[in-house]
Amino acid sequence: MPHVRLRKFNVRDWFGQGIDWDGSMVVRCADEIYVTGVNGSELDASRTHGTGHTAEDAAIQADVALNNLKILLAEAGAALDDICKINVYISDRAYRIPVYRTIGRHLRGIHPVSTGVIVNGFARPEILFTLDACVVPQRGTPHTRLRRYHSDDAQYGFERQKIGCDFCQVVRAGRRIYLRGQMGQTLEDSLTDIGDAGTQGAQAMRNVEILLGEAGAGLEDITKVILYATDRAHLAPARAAVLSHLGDVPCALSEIIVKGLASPDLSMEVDVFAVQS
Amino acid sequence: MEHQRFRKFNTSTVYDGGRIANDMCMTVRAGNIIFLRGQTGFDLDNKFVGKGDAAAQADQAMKNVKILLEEAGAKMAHICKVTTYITDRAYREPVYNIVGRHLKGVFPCGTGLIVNGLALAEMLVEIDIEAVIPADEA
Repeated sequence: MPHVRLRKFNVRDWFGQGIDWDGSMVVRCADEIYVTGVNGSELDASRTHGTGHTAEDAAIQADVALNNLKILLAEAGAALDDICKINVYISDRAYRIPVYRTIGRHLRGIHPVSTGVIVNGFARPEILFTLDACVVPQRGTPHTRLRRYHSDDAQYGFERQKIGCDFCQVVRAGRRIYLRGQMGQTLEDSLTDIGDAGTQGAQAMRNVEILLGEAGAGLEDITKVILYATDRAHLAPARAAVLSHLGDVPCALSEIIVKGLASPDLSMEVDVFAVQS
Repeated sequence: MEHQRFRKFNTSTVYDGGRIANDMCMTVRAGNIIFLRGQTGFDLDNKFVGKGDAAAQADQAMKNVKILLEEAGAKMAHICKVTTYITDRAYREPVYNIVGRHLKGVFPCGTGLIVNGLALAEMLVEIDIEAVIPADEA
């Protein structure tokens, strides 16, 4: 049976863009649900909320986005508590706390894994925030969410941030395994000397190996890796650390240089996707 | 079943100077799910196409996507998610129109990000693709 594609659109019908691109808001497969990145625009593209480029506007957009996500998942026969992983993209570090507090309110008690990245921009200049969600319907068997934590008790680089989110380090949903974006701090948050991007990458990969093991998988189950670095100079040492830890497991790698990560103390973050073989 | 990994290669053939030598691959098939390496203006023979031309790089990237999916037993119609990274807002319209032509009638989910850079300075666009082969077509 072909995948079910809900709320089909063409970008040229949205906000006067000269782009002929067929998309769907949701693709429902037998075992997983894919979603287009949600932002502060109405689902029918009638308007965008919070266009003032302030932290408050970013929070307004996050609120609209999470409401939209809830609607989209319901239409696909799923719910917010089926979310395994979120990727939070903001275009300014000043938006981080208000945006995350909004997300935390919507996803209270769900404990997804999360990766947060600061980028330069999105489809249109007025968009300040986009959220991607990886969703697997639970169908009666709850996902396994290990090493749950509350963000306000956690450390981001050398900082603590009152961002008010329930997260965890690893989610197992059927055979799919989603990890929190891993950085240069240990799973116990210890961070005495964070070191360069290579040192951070090596620590991140030790975490990855531990978390995969706890979820009943191993490095050989890794499929995709997305490596984020905050400067081109950090990319080569971080890549070398990631790949040397993977040894003879060849992964499909993407490498992205971003404006920032959860804390200015961090030079790299690695997103690892795995499927138990 | 073990994951199938297609077009394995050594990083020393891609990055300058061969200082780092590790294994990567272009495609991983895990059951019915296909994960591709982020595709760029590099063709599958490692020749860079479209220097300074984001649209030409996107065109090459999508040609690669088609080949890689088919090698793994999938097709364009199975694409579920497309994440598009560009390094300048000015590239959005030309890149999306090219990608949209390759994806005509597929209707995937998409996320678009403007980022500071990609693996090599000459890369202006990178496209991440995830596809799922429906059970009755596997």
